[in-house]
Amino acid sequence: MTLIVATLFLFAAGPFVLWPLIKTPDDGAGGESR
Amino acid sequence: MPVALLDDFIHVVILAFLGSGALLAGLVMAVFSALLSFWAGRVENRVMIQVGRRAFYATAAMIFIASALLETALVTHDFSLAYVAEHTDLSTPIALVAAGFYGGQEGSLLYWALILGILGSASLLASARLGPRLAAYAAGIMGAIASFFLVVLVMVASPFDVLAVTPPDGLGLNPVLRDGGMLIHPPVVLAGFAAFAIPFSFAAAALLAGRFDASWIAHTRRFALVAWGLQSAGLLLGMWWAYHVLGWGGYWGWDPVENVAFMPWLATTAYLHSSQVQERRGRLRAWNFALVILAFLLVVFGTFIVRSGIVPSVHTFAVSAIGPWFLGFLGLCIVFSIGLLALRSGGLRSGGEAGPAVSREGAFALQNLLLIGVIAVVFWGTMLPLVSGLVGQERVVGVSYYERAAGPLFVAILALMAAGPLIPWRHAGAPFWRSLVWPGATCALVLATLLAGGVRSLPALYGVPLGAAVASTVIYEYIRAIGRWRRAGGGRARALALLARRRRRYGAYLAHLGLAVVVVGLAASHFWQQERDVTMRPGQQATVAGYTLTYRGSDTRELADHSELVAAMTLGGKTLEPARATYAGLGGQSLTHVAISSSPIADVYVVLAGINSDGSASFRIFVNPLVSWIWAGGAIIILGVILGNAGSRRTVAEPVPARVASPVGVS
Amino acid sequence: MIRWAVVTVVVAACVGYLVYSASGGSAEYYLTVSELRSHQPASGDVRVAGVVQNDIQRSDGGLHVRFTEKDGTATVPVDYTGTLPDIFKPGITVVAEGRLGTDGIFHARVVLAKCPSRFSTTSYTS
Repeated sequence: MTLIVATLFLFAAGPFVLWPLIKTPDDGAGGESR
Repeated sequence: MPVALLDDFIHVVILAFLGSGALLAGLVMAVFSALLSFWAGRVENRVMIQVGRRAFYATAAMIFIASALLETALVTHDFSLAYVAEHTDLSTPIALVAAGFYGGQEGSLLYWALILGILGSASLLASARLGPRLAAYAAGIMGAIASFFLVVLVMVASPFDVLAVTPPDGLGLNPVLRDGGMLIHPPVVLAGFAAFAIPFSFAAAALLAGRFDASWIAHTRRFALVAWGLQSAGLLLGMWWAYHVLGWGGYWGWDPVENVAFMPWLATTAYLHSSQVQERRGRLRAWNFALVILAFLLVVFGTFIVRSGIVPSVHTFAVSAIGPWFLGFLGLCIVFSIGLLALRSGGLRSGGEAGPAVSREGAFALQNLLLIGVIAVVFWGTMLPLVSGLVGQERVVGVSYYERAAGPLFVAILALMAAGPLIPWRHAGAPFWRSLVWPGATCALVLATLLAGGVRSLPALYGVPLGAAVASTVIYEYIRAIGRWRRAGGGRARALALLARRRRRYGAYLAHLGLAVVVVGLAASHFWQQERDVTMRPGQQATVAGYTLTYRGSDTRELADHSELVAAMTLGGKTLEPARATYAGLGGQSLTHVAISSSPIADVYVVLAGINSDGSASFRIFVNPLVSWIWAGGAIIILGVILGNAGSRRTVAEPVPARVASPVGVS
Repeated sequence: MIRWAVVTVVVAACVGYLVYSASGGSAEYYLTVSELRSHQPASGDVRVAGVVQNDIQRSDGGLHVRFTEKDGTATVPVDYTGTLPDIFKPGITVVAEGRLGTDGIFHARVVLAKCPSRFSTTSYTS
């Protein structure tokens, strides 16, 4: 049960964490975001 | 019945599994953040560095969620959680129930991780401007530290463990801990420790990245100050709590728990001063790295000592499973730190010529040595039982060891504090020696007054005059600065504006003043304390140190869970009611309620020992001079820290004034 | 640089001297009750830890107390004048600081009790 909840949390956080990879990259390193 | 079981099950699902799930997710995210940040920093992959940073934010979010869940379980009295049942009960006041979050082993670890997550995230937000590699390594190190705490929380000491059967009520707090001090002291101390992980992480990251400039210092200055402020407040709150609750008339016993909270504070103090030298003159680089690392290692060491039970103390420690974990973590940190310093030892050599000894740089360097000396003294005293027990007969040191060994060092530090703010950078010339007249004269005057008053206690004869000298230096600096600005034109308004601009410096002076007040309070209350045991019948009087107390009579009061034996006394126009509370439900355990009458001059502190069969009552009466100066001085210190650093991030480190005509240009 | 090395050595030497001289004078032995009779040094206070037994006698309004401390198999009567820690009662562990007299009674100057732990392992056995 703990594992299921943990996995759900990780999936929820995924998009936020991986956002720099997901967003359309500007040329070069782009503006430094947080 | 089935409905109740379903209700139980839902309860358990909602809180315990959500909580442990959040912690597990946080652990995974923390490890991911650490590994990714280190790799991405090494190859300087900016996108991945951002991902690693976001992973740390996500970790902090998971910890926050778990914390919120635990707090919810506490205030809703969810006794299905073992942690809630063990630390609260239905009769505990709600404030103490909420404080149960950081009151127990597992919760305090979660609280530590929470502070690390919040402050760590704040420190990473603007860290990109330090350079991608440094910022990435800092995130990696903080992620690694968070990982450790989360590993312990998930695998060894979970706050979300569930009881097989939900009890109708919890065990509650021991009466000694049911006090306002319990609300404030632990979270402040713990936060002060956790906050210092931030400067450590950035310092270690700078070393790893081969960056020896002062940028990491400037970036983490706020966090180091917050940590120092919290640690200072934590120490003073602990002393205040011990003074008000424990009933032995004192506030510091050099117990291992106290000592391990004191040592990081000493190292942090040294670092705060020494780092200025690097910011202004680019020197003492190796010292600063070493001091930050030492302070953090002392934090980890202290956490290990407190939770492992290996050193005898009047504080009972559970010999718990997490002791070995913290020992391992401590070992890892030590190896990592020493390895890092050795690896980068080449770059640590400060550039530039070694300046003359009598200069502000020299004063700060001397301060470092003296504070390290005090740390060594305290460390030895704390560890002697363990070391001696290993090689032979176990020995412990008494309180007089600390006073005799550390006392002279404190005296030297005080003298340095009195002269330090007056010493110019680079070279001390005639104007400096002339300005020493002020603290010197103050010191001599106070010393003469004490001697004339018949004071013969050597520590007091050192402590009070030097404390006064420190204060006089601060006041002199303020007067001089204001005078200089008013002469420069613009009047009072402009002078105050300039004061605000230079608030970093003048806030620090205010903190020095606060410390001087604390020192005088400590010296007076410790060395001039008077104590008397008296037995009185109703109507009788007793006089201690000029204070006359009249015993009026006693009374027994029945309260919800305890009975109180209250003695009424009058002191002048005031009523004091020392009491003894007896908790029948806890096997007759009794608790002292100390009665204290405070004034700026002295505290009259009365403990009720007991009431005899013939109606007389026995008391232990203390008169503690200037105790309130300790708490007042603490407030001034905090005020100085806040005023000195509030507002704009870029408070100008003002240019080093050239007091002596110097051929070298201003740096 | 040499100058600073010298200063460091001087400070270190002073600290070492202070530690050595201060601990020589005030370090106490921390003994078990069983060791008390055989290992007490010729002079100076010692500390003894043990569990308070059921025979507490108070007098003088609670300022004077006599109780027995026990650890393992050995017991020792303790005599103490002063205020006692709040949680003092049979069954708790105390540390008494003082000397064992020729009368076979340990005359304590200080009695300390272990504070209730914030980190106690009192686990709830349901």
